[in-house]
Amino acid sequence: MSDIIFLLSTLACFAVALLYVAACNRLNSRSSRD
Amino acid sequence: MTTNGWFQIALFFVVVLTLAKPMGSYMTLVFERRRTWLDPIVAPIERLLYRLTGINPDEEMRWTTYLVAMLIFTAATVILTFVVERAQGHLPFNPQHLAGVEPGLAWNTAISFSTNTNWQAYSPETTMSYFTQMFGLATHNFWSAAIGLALAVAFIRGIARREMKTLGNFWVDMTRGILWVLAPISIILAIALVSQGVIQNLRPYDTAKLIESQTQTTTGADGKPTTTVITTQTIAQGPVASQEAIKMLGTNGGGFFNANSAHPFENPTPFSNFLEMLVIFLIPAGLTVTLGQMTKSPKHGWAVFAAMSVLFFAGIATCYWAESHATPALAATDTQVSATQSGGNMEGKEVRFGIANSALFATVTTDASCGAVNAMHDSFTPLGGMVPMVDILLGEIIFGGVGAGMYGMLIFVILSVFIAGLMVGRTPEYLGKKIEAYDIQMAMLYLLIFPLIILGFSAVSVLSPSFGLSSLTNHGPHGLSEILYAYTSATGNNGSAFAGLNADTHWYNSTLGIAMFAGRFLMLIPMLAIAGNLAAKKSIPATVGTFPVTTPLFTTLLVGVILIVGALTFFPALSLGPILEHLLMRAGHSF
Repeated sequence: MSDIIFLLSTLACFAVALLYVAACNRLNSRSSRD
Repeated sequence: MTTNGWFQIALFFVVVLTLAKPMGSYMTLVFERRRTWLDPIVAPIERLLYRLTGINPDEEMRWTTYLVAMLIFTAATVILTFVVERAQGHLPFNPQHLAGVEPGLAWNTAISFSTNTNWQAYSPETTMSYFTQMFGLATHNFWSAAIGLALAVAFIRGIARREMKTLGNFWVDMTRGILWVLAPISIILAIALVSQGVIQNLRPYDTAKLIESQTQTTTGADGKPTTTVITTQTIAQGPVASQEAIKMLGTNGGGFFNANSAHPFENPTPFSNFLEMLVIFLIPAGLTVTLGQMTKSPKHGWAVFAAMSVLFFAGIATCYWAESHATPALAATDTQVSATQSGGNMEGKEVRFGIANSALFATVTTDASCGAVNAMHDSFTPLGGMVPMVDILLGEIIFGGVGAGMYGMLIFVILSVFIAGLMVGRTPEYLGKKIEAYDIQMAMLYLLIFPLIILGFSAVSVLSPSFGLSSLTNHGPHGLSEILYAYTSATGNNGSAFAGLNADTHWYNSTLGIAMFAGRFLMLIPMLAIAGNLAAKKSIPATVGTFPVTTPLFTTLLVGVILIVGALTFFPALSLGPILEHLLMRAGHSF
């Protein structure tokens, strides 16, 4: 059970990192338009 | 401090300086995909790897694609290492029949090695099988270093390119980093280390009969003392040299043994010690030359090298001075340097290395994000121990980790150029690129995440007697230093420790794992966003109002900005930890 929790935690961490990439990219696009 | 000690420190720096240009020029050739003397051997391997994996090496990537490729690769390898650790009891090369690693520790270790931290909340020789060490951990030593190198090169391309949307190809940069840089030097270094006595085998552990038996008394759970007579000692073995080489070259730092580079099988002689320190700085120092060559401004590369050198000498001078003086507790004894003793504070240091090489190793390993140790940082004097901590708190940009030091330093360069622009009321420019709002927003994200994680987790830990303070073996300001050092080391992806903290608990395994992850990925994302933004910009010609980034004035400003940012952020915490401990030590209190 704890194995599943840690594997899901890993995926969650990387999902957050991907969202962070998307957020920085969005800010970049908005900044370019300005 | 002795003349001999300073001579060895100066010799170390001269060799680093001498090797920086050939190493940097070689890496320029490798990452610009130009011909090198290694091509006949490794180019066919490179082509085979691309064919097997279906990668088009000529495909260019935007910064977002570059990052997504890196994140997917790292996620897959983290899971692979976690599975290997958990299943090691059923896997080969496990002569000691070690059981699978407990889930929390396995996760912490997988994150630790994938982020180039190599924080180890365990004793490797009693926890990890040879298979786990070789396949689960040493592989990450190559991958994480190659990723750092690739990201630094991508950042440099962002500065060098004009009106382009791409930064290169992640898979190509990582593959070339391993095949052309990390693997060949590691092989040569491993052979050199074996020549000095570093072991390389797959044998079961040896058992030696003690010349004098030892008596150990322990207290059981029922409170009754038990006396055991110990007549034998187990001597751990393993494929150490191959792991030791990339551990130092890749600024990883995770020891094959618990004692790390203080263990005679990892670092047996003063010469092996010199080699290990040298290769920590080899690639980071070379990258300053690569920066200069790829941006067509070699003097800028040397200006950055000079800033790193100034900070390096400030650190080693402080650490060496502090460790050369014994603590007041030893005032009544003979603490002078002589033919028969090293003098000063030798607690936690190896006699074969002495004070100068212990202080130098501690400074080098924390200037870079290595984290290997040849002495116990926890046993350093308060000010001597503060130097490794400050090195990491400044962002490990004093040569720094493989790649990570360079891109960290370039963030400070951008900040310095921005401040210089503000001073004269002009839009800041850096090597022909205007530094605008988005670049500074991302630079601020990079710089603020770091203290937020370190100070946030440290604060929660010191406020909690149940899960934070209970892991301490020292209290008072030294206890605070131990906790602060742990989160500093994890967030800075260093991996060294003040060993008085028991970090193998649910709280520390989880939060240090998060700190390592955030300290790596949440910082490099805004860094590469800046690179992508810079690459797309037009080049503007330099005018009389452009702040030159090739002069001693630039180097001075850069050093000043680094110190001011570091001091403003961390001085309060340091004053409650090592500085207070130093003052109390002078007053006769020790912790």
